[in-house]
Amino acid sequence: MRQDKIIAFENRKLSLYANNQSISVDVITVSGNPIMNILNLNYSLGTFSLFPEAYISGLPKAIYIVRARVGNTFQSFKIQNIIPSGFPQGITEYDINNIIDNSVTEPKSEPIIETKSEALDTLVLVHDFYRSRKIPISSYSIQYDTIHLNNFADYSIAEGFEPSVTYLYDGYANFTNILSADSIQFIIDYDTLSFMEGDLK
Amino acid sequence: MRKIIVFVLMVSMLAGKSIAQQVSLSGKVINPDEKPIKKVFIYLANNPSLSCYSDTLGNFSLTDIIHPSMM
Repeated sequence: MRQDKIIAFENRKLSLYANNQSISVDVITVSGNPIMNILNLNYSLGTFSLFPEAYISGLPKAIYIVRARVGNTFQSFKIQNIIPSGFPQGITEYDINNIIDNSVTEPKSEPIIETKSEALDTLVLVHDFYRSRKIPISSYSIQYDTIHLNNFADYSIAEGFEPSVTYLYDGYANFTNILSADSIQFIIDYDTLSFMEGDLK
Repeated sequence: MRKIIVFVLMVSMLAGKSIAQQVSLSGKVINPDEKPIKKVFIYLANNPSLSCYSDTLGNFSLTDIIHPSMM
């Protein structure tokens, strides 16, 4: 079975589709403070499903954010414990045969995963506004078509906003503070819940 | 004796040059919206002195020769 979404949250069930990738699930407050880690696995393969609400029943009644990561893909969802759920804790479903075809997210020209023993060197790509990427290379002569760099989190950079060298500070309640290399400061205000609905671009 | 030393040195130098690696890595860096990313710093982990930046179209080209002493 082929899945289109790496991370899905339907009927209060979180499903993660990993293909030799590390996965983690954390619960944080709406202001961004970490509360607990629910799941943390390295080099996972297959589909993992769980109910995040099962972990917050003992916490003060409120809306929380469950933050899921599969490899470099992040996604956040709202959960609440105002209405008791009664869901069981732990991984409720696991299917090793249910994995995503890598061609959905990775161009064919990019190496998928190579072991360190096969790698001759590592190509490192660094940018202040994107996640760094390390690509093991088995040859010093490679013509890549395209190499993707992912965003730090669940946002995408605004149209026309192209900071070349910036320092990003986050962790504040409802704004992100960005300071560029030439000392120009940007403060971006946003609704802390809106990014989960894809409103912040 | 002197000739032997010179010969050994020459053989060593030639062997070193034959092991030297030609590096030719190129491509285009794009973001999740498929737009090019400029000024991405790109380097080799084992040879960090060999580096470059992507241009305004996201293209980069890492081309040089790595000698054994650098490896």
